Amino acid sequence: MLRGEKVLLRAETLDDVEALYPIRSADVELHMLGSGRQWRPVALEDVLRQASKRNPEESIEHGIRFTVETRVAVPGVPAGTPIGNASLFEVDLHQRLCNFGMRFVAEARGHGFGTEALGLLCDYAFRVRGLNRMQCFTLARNGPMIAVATRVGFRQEVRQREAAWSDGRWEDQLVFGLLADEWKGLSDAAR
Amino acid sequence: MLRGERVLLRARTRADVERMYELEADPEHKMLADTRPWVPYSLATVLEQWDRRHADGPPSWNENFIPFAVDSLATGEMIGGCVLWELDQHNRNAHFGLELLPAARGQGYGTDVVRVLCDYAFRVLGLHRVQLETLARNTAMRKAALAAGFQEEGMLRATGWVGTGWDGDVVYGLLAREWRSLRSEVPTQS
Repeated sequence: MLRGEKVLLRAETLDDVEALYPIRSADVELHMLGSGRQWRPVALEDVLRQASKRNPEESIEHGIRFTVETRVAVPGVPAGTPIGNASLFEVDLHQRLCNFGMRFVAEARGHGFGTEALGLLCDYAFRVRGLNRMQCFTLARNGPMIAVATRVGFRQEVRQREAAWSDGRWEDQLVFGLLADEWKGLSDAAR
Repeated sequence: MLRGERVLLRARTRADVERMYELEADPEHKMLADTRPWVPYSLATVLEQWDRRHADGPPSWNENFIPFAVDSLATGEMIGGCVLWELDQHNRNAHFGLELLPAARGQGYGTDVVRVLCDYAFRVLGLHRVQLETLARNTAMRKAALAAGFQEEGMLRATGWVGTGWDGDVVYGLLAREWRSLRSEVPTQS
């Protein structure tokens, strides 16, 4: 597992899938904010069946979902609670890049958990996996995601105008990128 | 088929695949035009793959991928191919790709291909946005995009490995309303 001060990133269990089903599949507003796909109803039993069939070997190329678990307590969230997911996906071993995404339950937001989780994800992608670039596509109205990415050191590279239909209108989509040598510079400076 | 001022866009045939093999077999071209690394494929393998996909008649491409062959109207020769890929019916957008055979480059065909494919994307498919990504060093593609009215929206850094280092992908976007206003400035041909 990947251990920080406030959170750790570990393998996802079926209990996590069940606990986090509301933010993963049932919350339409969150889905429109965080996913490029249209929301459709998905039953918990189907999500569990899909998760139980996942082969960890496949995740080496296609993507890795971590459960983010708290190591400290904040109001309403005891230590040891699974509070969301952080994942790498569309890993391209030739171009040595990947996308990342994160999603957290409402009670856990605003405590710096996301910033630390993204830092752990970067350390894993760059130092452990040897990738050269991480990127994230996010809606221009997704303030929390933009704030976390910026705090960790990602740069806004592109504004794709009206690239997404979200919440009844066209939204710009932003692309944030961070390169391995930039991350090394940032983490050396923080040490 | 779709007719521009200088090019014709039509369905790809097995004979086109044979002519395009020149590009498929060229690692230098693939390094500039494809995100995947070049690996050797024999012409026989490429044609077998084609035959499998076309075994039941119309190609069994997925629905997000619409390929065309490009002919020169002047000569009637096939000069390359273009494609709409990652067609997204929810967000109503698609990406644009173009490959010209070496002999057809530098003659302004690219700009006409972009225009014709945009006409298809906006007028026929009803898309809201078309996007094009190209390596920063691909000045021909970038010129064609700007000439067709695309706006430069930024650059993804270090997304393409080219020989000795990384290049970035410049992103261009064009919206349906921009396309319509560009069209209305040009007198329609009778």
